[in-house]
Amino acid sequence: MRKMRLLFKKEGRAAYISHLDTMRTLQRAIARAGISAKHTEGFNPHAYIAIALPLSLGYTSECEMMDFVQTDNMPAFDLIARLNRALPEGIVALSVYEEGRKVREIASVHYVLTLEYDNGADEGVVSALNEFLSSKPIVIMKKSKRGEKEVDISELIRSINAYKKEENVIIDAVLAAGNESLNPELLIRAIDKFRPELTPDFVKYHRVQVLDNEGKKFI
Amino acid sequence: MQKGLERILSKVQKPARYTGGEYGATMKNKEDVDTRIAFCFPDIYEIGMSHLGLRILYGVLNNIDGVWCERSFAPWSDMEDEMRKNGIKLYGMESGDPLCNFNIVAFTLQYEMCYSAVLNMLDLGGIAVRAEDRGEDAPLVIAGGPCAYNPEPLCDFVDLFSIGEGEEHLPEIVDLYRRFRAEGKTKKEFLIAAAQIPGTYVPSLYEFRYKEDGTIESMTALNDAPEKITKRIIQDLDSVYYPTKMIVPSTEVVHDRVVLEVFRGCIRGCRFCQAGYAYRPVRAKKASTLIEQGIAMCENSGYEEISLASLSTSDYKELPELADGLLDWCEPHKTSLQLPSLRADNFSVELMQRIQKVRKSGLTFAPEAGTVRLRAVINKNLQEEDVLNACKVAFEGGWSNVKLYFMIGLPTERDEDLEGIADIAHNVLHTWRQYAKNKNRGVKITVSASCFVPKPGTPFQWFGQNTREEFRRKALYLREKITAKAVTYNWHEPDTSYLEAVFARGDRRLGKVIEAAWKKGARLDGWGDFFSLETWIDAFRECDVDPDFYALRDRALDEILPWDHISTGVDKRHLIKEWETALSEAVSPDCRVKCTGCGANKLLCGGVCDA
Repeated sequence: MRKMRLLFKKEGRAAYISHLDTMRTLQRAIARAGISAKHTEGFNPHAYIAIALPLSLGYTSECEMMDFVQTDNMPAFDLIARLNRALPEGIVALSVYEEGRKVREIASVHYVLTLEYDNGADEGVVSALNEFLSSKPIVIMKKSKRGEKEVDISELIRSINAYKKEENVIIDAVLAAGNESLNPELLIRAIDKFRPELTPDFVKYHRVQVLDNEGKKFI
Repeated sequence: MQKGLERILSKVQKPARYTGGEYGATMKNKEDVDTRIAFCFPDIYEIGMSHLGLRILYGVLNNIDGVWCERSFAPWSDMEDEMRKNGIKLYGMESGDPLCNFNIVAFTLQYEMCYSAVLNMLDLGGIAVRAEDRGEDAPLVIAGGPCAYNPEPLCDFVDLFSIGEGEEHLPEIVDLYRRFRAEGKTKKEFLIAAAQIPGTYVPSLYEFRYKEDGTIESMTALNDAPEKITKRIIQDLDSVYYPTKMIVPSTEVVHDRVVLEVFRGCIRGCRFCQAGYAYRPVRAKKASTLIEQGIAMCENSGYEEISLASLSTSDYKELPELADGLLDWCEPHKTSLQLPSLRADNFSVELMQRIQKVRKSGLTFAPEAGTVRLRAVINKNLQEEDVLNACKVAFEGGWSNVKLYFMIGLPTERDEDLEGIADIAHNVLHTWRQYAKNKNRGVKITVSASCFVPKPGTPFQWFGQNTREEFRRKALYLREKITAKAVTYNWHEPDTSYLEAVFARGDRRLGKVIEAAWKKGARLDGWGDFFSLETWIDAFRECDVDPDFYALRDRALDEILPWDHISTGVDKRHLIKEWETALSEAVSPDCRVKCTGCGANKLLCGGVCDA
């Protein structure tokens, strides 16, 4: 019995596989790959897995983590190779290791947002975005299971920077995660609310890295 | 991916339906293929990916060098709206290329209510819906599946129908297509040549003349096309391709499990059942083949559930060997085995007890009719005692959930037959009171009554369907007769069944109605979310076509029927004999007891049917 953590990425069309479907897909991939994993009890036993931070539908990521319990000693390189043969297009196993850190030590997540403006965006848009996103406070309504409440999202932004790349604008942001977390879509909602002239026509969300409270890479 | 698709995917529900990229999907290099085929299922992804025929033919076609077969499904309305708004054409899921760029667009027709979806998919794919409006550059549009046993209503839209089992026929068609294209021949030349391949129906090569009363006067085959098109069958199911390396959807589909096809055909001869007649003769796979394929499919897919598929699994001669062989593997591999379509005999109940050690799922029986007399008429040899015996064993074993399926509107039906349905339900309840081990958990008995649709190629093909008013009267009459609280009664609105009856036995004069209804917004008519009988009635009126002529009219035995030139291998004489036997309220033996000489055995090399 070894507690293992799998690091994987999700890209391309796999971005549209929902969190629950991703779980099912990974469980089936484990079965196809012939990996010995601890199973759940009950009528329909399946590999026991846990994913640290559920990724929203449509997002891509290069830092997804899945925990499972390996019940044999298949070496990591073999496990990764087998898994990659068993996974659908766009989900790629990167590495697997024992003794991953406790999930509660996750403090923030690094995102890259690609903002598409159909009529183009100049440097003025970029500086206006930077000015707005680094202002304090930015108070918006946030929906949660317990209803709506006002949140100052500027308190949850650890670092943020907008810049131009080709015809798009990139927002590079480190946002709080864990107890109090900030969904990057709220950044766009705040822009739309306070600076509607800066609202993009389409946004792509990409998760780059998960960090601990010292800003170091969480593993 | 077409430009703009990414943006709409994040707006629609369940986008994984539209993205492809699943494990096991076939990707090929466009430069390495000369023929692109889009296998289209005229319903949504979750339904289409549950369909075994699609998986078989996808594999068969992709095994041909130089050919790439992709899949396409009907989008849900939210996706369709976004696609139309953003100018995105319906595409093949593997490459994302629009359907109009394919060489062949192939539809499988599983039920009549998909016809509007066929037109909608063609249109969304950038293809003219009418065959006559498609030029040399447009894709060849072909279709097959159970509805192709009466293809006439779709003749305006489809260039070529594949009749019967497609594993061998489709590659022959594709081969001819490639040869003729390489030689620079026209579509017309190809279609005339294709008509000579057995199992091919090219509707444009047939002309119909009608009598004043609307019935068919004559049918003429042109360009040497055959007078009769006989369905194709696979002679040996053990050696034919089976998709042991399957596509595993990344999102949940209806049948999310390994499906093992045990045999084709059925020995029972229920007179209402189109599948029972259309899939003759009976051809079984060996248990050893099935065990091997089942294990391979579990290993290749990661599924933890196997389901056996056939029209009547209990009639499989090697069922004990098959169940044992699969269970020997399934138990240590934590895989469950599902056996739908079991008959109510003792062996089946014992088997169910063995395979369902933990969860007690429901028991389902389909007596179809309420009295011995009416069951003789329809030749459904499932007797009430069998049902009650099976229920007794099941209740003793801890089951407490029974579903009973019936049809109303069967030929010769009287009100006492409806009362018989209520009696069976009450007797099941009585059996539970007598034998249930633990009465505290209660019992749930569900009676479902559906409206009978006479189907072509069956002994009931001459029978006029009940009117919708009569269906409603019968359904409500039955509701009054079911008094017990523990019995839940479901009945289906007859609107869908009525339309199904129109198209099941329709002719090519219905093409304009389908087009008109589609233009008025009909699509995905199999879904209550979209179906509107009013839309269709408007279309009939606009086209000056009387739907009652097709649904409600009793046909004369000597009438030329619109599907008479399509043969399932069963002689029309046999159907007439069975219809007359039905009216005399007599049963016919099943094929294993005594051959009734239906004629389908002649499709087999050697002519000997192994029922």
